[in-house]
Amino acid sequence: MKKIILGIETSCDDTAVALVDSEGNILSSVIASQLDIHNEFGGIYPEFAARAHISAILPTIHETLKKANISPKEISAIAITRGPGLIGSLLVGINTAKGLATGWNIPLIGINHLRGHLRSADLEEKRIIYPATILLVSGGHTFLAYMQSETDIKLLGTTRDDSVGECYDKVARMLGLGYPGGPAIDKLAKTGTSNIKFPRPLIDKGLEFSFSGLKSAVARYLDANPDANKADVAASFVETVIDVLITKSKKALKQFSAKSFAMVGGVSASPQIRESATEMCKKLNIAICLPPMRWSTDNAAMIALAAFDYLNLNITKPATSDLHLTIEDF
Amino acid sequence: MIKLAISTSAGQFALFLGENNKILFDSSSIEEIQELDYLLLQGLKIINKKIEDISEIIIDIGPGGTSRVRTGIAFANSLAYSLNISVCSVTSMKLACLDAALKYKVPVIFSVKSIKNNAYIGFYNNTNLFNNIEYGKIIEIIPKWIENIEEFVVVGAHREEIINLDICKNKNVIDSKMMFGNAKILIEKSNFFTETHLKFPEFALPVTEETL
Repeated sequence: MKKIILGIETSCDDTAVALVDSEGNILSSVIASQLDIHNEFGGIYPEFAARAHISAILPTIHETLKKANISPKEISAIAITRGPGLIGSLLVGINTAKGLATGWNIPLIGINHLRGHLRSADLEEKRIIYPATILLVSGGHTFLAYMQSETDIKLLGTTRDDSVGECYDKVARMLGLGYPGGPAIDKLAKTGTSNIKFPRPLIDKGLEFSFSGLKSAVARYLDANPDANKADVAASFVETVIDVLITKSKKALKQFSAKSFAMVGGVSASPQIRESATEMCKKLNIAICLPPMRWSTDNAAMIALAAFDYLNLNITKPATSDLHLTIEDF
Repeated sequence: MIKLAISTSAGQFALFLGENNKILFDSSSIEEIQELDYLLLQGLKIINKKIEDISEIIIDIGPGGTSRVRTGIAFANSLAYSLNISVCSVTSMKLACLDAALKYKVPVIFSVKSIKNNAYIGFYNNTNLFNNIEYGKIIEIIPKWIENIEEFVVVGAHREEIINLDICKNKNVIDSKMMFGNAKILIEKSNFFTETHLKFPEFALPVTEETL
């Protein structure tokens, strides 16, 4: 009989719950978005995020069970994101999961959110061919990792300051495009010309990233050029981001022999970045793995899928919040 | 049947198991781990009961430490959902005021600090009726409540500030020296907490300035 895991993800601003079986089939997945709450702040307001999670989490769990027509007795374990993330949001998810696991008398496994993201590329079907180089680009994280297998992961380089998603959101705010900034900037960029030379920090240095300088450069440019064509600014910004991400990814692929390249995380939903990554892989004759858009952003199916890796390795991490987990941690 | 009471708004997690207004387990006897699931399972083991024996959960919904309050509520709500039982939500104000009212037999004013010099302020004038909860400045809210009262007791974070209000000069204001109520009364006086029994799709939510 296939094992079924209930995944719960509340590390940031989405209350996500999913039921996934041991073959990676998603029986149901429900996400309660908080976009309307945070839109007016131009970014995530942590206190309001935690409040919204506590209102949304039980109805989301209930809807997930109902949609899959699964009773609690059929669930083998609960997988809960234990970090990294916003502490108030994590605590709501973790303690909700503890209550359910206690009441249903089933195991509870604390999952590293970043490992969940890496495993999102294998949701619904196996896509990654190992060894693989992975680029995770999201609102909270930007890094390159090398995966020998589902569980053997080495961090190659991460951001020294802002994540690429954070940079997108801040620049979107400067351009008056609202939150989340990614889709709005990408859309505007398509109508503009990349004619502004923004800096590409650390582009020639190792596999680490830095995006705070780019964000400041856009701010300075807009201060000095209040009548600048916003579409051109967006196009130039997107081209800069792509240049940095693709240059670093190429470097990683040359240094570490990989059969595939996977790009995951919310920013990987960007059509321009997807196109550039696909082109890069074609030139390097390497397989590209891009999860469907719906699994790029935070979701609980990836947390449940990662939990099967933990179970297979007999790793039982407690459901205790940890804000400082890296991709190498469980 | 067993009642489970959880209060997280004060400094430490307090978890009690009880029956017929009598406490059978008090989590203060276990100090090494402050995790609600662990405390609950230890408590059930000590009193030789099963999780299914819990028939109701009483939860303190604050105001108080925001993360701690949410921790308790999230646990209580999902445990109640998993056991298909109800949650009785009690504000930390009602808990503190009832505790003080039972001791002093006079009206009670309770306050909890919030941001920007604001406070959550509660007024309780007998053991059956919780008169008022408001969010704002002490100086703006309290005078209208105590205009016609000659004696009352103060509980919470602003006791000194309230005692020193001009309007209190000719009144008998008793300093309870209490910051929060004793959560034991959630079990011992559970018959006072009957008005908010919530069963899914209803569930407990923390007190915030928005929910008052």
